[in-house]
Amino acid sequence: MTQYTIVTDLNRCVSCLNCMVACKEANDVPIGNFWIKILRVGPNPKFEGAEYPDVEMYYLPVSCQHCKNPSCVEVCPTGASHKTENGTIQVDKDKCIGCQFCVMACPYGVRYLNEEQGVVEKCTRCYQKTQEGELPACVVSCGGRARWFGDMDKGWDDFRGSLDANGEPLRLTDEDYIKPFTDADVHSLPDSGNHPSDRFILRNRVWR
Amino acid sequence: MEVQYPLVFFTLFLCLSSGMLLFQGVCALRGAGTKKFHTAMLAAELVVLAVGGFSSFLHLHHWERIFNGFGHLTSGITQELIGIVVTVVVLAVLFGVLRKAEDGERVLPKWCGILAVVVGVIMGFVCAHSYFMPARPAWANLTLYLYYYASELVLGAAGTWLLAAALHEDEAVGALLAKLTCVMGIVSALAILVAGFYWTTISFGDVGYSFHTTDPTASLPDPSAALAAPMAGSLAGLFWGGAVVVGSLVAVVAGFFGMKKAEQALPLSAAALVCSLMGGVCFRVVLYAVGVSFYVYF
Repeated sequence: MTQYTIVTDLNRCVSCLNCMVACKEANDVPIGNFWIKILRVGPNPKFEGAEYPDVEMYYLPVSCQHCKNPSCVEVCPTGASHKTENGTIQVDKDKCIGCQFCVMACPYGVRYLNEEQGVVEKCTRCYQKTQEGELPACVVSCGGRARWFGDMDKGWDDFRGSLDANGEPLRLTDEDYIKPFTDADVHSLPDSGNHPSDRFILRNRVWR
Repeated sequence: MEVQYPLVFFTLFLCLSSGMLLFQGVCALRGAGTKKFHTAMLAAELVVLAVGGFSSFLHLHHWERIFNGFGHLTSGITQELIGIVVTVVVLAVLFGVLRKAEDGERVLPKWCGILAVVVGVIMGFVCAHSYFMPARPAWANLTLYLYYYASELVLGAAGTWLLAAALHEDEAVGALLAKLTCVMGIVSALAILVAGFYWTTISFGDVGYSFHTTDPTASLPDPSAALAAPMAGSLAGLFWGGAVVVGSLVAVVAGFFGMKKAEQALPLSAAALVCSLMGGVCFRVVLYAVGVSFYVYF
């Protein structure tokens, strides 16, 4: 089995918005639509009753979570939204009727109607790139080198990120570069039964 | 969530059509109603279903591809589509039975009544089930089914009563339908109140302060306030005035007086139906407003 996944190291994300811009450029995302978007969480008190400067925050980049039990696929009447062999959820635009039930069923608000084409779109994991062995645009362009792409079923070793000085992708397991993390530091977005596949690493902060 | 008016009118007319079929079945089981009445009911149900179906097509951007949709059974739209086809077949069967019937004791046999009731009950479920989405806590609970059934029942009773009054059916039939309209109005009001109260009990995860880079000047999300808005907030007018008073209690009052004043049946039943339709629109608009995502930040 394969489960293409993006892992974001939130301790490295600086909200430069490069991922948003690169995604727009790589996928020709219409104005007003965002296949990836950033939420700043905080500043929130570090502990109950804490006041400034005892506050903390992090940035949360969110795109389609390519869920293991995707609600969008379940509600799609034509099979346009479907799960592929590599674990990603794709939309067959020739089958989409534009009913937008998938938009309603998605808990994360990452699906958009393309008004011009009358079909729903979302993050494809840069299917056109990953099929050719390249990395998604949001991963390559990440200004904080926080995003990593790989097959979760193969483990952390498979995850690669933006390029190093020699033009080779960095690896998530490169301890010279990546600060250590434990399983307790790995999070996913809240689950309403859809089982999101993307993961977020957050150390020394309260995951909210 | 932004109101999808074509879907509002689709579910409204689907409930009206299915509700009328259900109460036609009740009449058939009791041996009530003339051949003319039952024929007119079938025609009305078909026309209302067609209006609802047309309304749903306005929602689609590629309606010509809808016939790809019969194969994906987990989809609520597919289930509705199949339900509508089954309803049309049942209407055709009932019409065929009626053509051979003669006015007398019973123009539709009992099995026809049972068939109509069963299809009406199933369609109420299918209509609600399409919107049962775990991502939207206000929709993902039993109150959704409760309301859609209530809507189907009050609309169906009022619509059936109106047709009976317009065709000068027997006074006993009119009194029965007036009584049913009155009771279903009470059921509708109670279902709406239960839903409105339940929404206020739903809790959401909270990330604390947040700032959205795609909408930097937006207010902080407040899902609890959105879900309390129908009972005591910005949606109170639509909820109490539109859905409860106009949409339900008018039917109660009209049905109550209709039981005693048969000569006023036509205006009373018309008022009941028009107000139930208006209330149905109001409640469905409220449903979209409270349909916030359980992860409200995106």
